[in-house]
Amino acid sequence: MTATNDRPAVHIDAGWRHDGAERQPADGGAALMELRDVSVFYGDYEAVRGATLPVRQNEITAMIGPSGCGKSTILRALNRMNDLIRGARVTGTITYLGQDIYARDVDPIQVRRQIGMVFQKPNPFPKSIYENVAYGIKINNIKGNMDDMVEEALTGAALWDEVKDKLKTSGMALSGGQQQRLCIARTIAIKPAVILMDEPCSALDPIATGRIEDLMYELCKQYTIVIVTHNMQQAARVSHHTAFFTAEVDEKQVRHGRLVEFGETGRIFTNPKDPRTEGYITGRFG
Amino acid sequence: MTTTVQAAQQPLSAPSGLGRGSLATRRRLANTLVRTGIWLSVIIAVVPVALVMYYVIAKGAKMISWDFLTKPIPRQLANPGGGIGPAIAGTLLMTGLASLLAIPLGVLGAIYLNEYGKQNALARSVRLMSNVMTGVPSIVMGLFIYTAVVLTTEQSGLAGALALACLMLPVVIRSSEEMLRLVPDELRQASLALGARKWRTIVTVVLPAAVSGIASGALLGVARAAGETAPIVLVVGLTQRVNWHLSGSNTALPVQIYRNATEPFEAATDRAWGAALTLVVIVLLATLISRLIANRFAIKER
Repeated sequence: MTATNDRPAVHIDAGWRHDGAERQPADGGAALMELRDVSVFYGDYEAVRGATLPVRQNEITAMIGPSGCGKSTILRALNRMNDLIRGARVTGTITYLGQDIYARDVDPIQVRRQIGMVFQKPNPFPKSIYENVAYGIKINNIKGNMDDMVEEALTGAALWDEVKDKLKTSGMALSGGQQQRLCIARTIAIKPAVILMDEPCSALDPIATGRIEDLMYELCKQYTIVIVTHNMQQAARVSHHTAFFTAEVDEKQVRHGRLVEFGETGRIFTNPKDPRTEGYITGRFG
Repeated sequence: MTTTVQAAQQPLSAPSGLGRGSLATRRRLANTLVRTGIWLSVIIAVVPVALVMYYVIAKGAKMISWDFLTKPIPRQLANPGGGIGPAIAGTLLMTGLASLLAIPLGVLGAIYLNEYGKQNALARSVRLMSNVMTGVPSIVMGLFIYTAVVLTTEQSGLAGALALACLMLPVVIRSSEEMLRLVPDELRQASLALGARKWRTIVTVVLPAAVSGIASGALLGVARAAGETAPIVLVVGLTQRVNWHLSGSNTALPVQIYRNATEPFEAATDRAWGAALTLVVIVLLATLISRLIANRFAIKER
């Protein structure tokens, strides 16, 4: 981030606790998604145990923590991408607008239509830039002028000016940062409510990272964003709320990801309540 | 290893470490040796191929004429004249039908194996069987079709096409599955995350990304089928006249090459070379056509 006055407004932490008691959204912001006691299993292995947190509308929620703490696993549970992994299952409830997205009659395709995802490694289709953005519009039969919708999405992803003269060239020919913005354009082209980002900047240089972060801040005016990041500075820079996960060994010597603390980002980074959070943030652990 | 480390530790006192002599001699020697070896291998590998092409063209080209390509096969191979028209027709008919049967089936099978079945019991057994079938000698496949089809009907182009399709199928399945496996999972996930259904993802993302490799693999199958002699002799029989029908005896280029080449007469040997060149050109044309088709569907890199 360049301009510090672009920082999200500081939210008052209304004493929201990760154990689920006294759950009260900060400053009245509506929770678009809610996770209640969510555990994710791969076969018999419980990768994440009992995470409870809200995802508030038009906010950026960051998930941080050391490798193997299950933050990406939780993220992928939010739009049922874990369904694609053999043996993966989710217990607890994840609701979107009050509806359980793992209910029997819910179509995962419809969930992913509402809850889009940007991946760690930029993964544009080996098609033209135009086709990349038009793809989601086509498969979802969204009505309207295709050229306009493609331009709107590319503009929204702050990529239009760089690619408007070469829409017919391959998306693979763009730089890494441009590719990731193309992937964001592709996602916002179908106008999801939530955008999940799985370490979207980990393959990018600092300048490209800065652009994506600026973009995220712009996007959260219209969308709700959940970002998983290894980069604590990034979480501190862009997010409104932060969830800190860690990996813990239980009584049977099995490692599980656990949600340690959730709260307003400023508070998490300046005044963490849990010593483990403090240890990680200050660099003593992780 | 140790010498490099020492050199790195004393860069100022050992400037000669960067020169071409000294400790690098062994490495340079090894490098030269390997490079020479690779060059030699390439040359040795290319020589037979080039020689085959040279002989086929040198001996076959003078035979090629419209009459040669269209006229019926003479009853007495020893006599000059006549042509290989029926063999060309038979090869095109049977290889064409076999491709129409085996390529779509093989690609769909590969899609099942790689996208749906993955490691389940059915997929594993199909995979194992197609691997085994790739290694089955073509005459065995001919025997199978002979028992299953010819004994109840007659020797025919249809039986030949079925035998060739059985030979092509495992080749197409295996190569297509390999190509589908090379498509990065990230692309599938990206498509699914946009709300695409699985079949849509396969048709619009996975197949286009793999199509040029699939086309190459399918062509290997086509070339294998076009070059088969034994099963054709067994299940198709022989004819002197052009037969564009699937019923009744037919013939194919490899069969005519074999028959003519085993005759001691010059007219027959010439005919064999001419047929060989024709076969090579047909396979080459099939390659070009498959490239064109693949390029149409493939997604441009730049």
